[in-house]
Amino acid sequence: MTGSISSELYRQFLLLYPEPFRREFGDEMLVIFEECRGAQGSWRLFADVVLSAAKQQIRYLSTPAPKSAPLYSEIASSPNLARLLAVTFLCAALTAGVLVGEKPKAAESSTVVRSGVLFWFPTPGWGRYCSDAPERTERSASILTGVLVGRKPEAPESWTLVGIACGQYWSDAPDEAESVLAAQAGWRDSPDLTTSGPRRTEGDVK
Amino acid sequence: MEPKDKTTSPLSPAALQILAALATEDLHGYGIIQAVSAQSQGRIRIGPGTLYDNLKRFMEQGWVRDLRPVSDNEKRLYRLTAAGKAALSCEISRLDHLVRQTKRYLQGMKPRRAE
Repeated sequence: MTGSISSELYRQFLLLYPEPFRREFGDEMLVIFEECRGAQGSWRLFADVVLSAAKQQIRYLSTPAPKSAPLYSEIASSPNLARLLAVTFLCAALTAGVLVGEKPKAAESSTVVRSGVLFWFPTPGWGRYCSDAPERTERSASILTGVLVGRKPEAPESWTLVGIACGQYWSDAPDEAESVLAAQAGWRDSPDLTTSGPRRTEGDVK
Repeated sequence: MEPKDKTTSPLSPAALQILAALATEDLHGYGIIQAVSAQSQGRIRIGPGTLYDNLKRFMEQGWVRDLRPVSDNEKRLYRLTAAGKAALSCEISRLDHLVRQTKRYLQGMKPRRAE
């Protein structure tokens, strides 16, 4: 492992420490890691830092929090370990779903996916709902994210994630945008494909 | 519940070596690692995680204090305090007692020479 990569990895491991500990010793530890790497080996030092961080987190979490001052109390900016684990798990599950999930090919999508549902989620904040400025709304854009779940012929009783797509569309033509996006994702040939999601209303665009 | 008195608890090998290294002179982090390796003939090699785990605990107990560098080129040094010296000598006495007692037992177990 090259020096810069292992140093960067070590820097990431330092994030496992509680914030007060990292603030006090983090820089010194990184310098010492670079000095010790040749003599002790990177992997041994990685194991050392992970074990040490776990000990410090346990100590930090088991220490009772001091009673807050009446007018001011400092909020710890250390990342919550439980939240970090939850986010890591969700990201891993999402990545696995995208990698493992079977994406229908255009030519045989009608045989792979018997029926499907396309959920789309327009990203708010791009002016689509600026009803007080219709001239802007007409030209504003939004991000469309589609998630397709489908049922396979061999397992018709269970739903499975078959693909995710993302695109941009002008808010005055959402129906057309849906068709373009579904075609890009290879979902257009699904015979039973239905769409759901918020629809354009009269007040949205001029 | 009263907190446990750390001065009476046996120290881990790494903690003992770190205190012993600081007993000779003020050292910075990497200096402590080198001193520990030298005084144990290379058998104990501590990493930065173990080192700062112990240093933080020692600083909280008042056994070690840090000397902040005055310029950017200098490194932070760590110094053994009087309380740290007392804790170290307490541990050395405990080990010395253990060694003498064990030697006595081992000598008593030796078979007598046939006359």
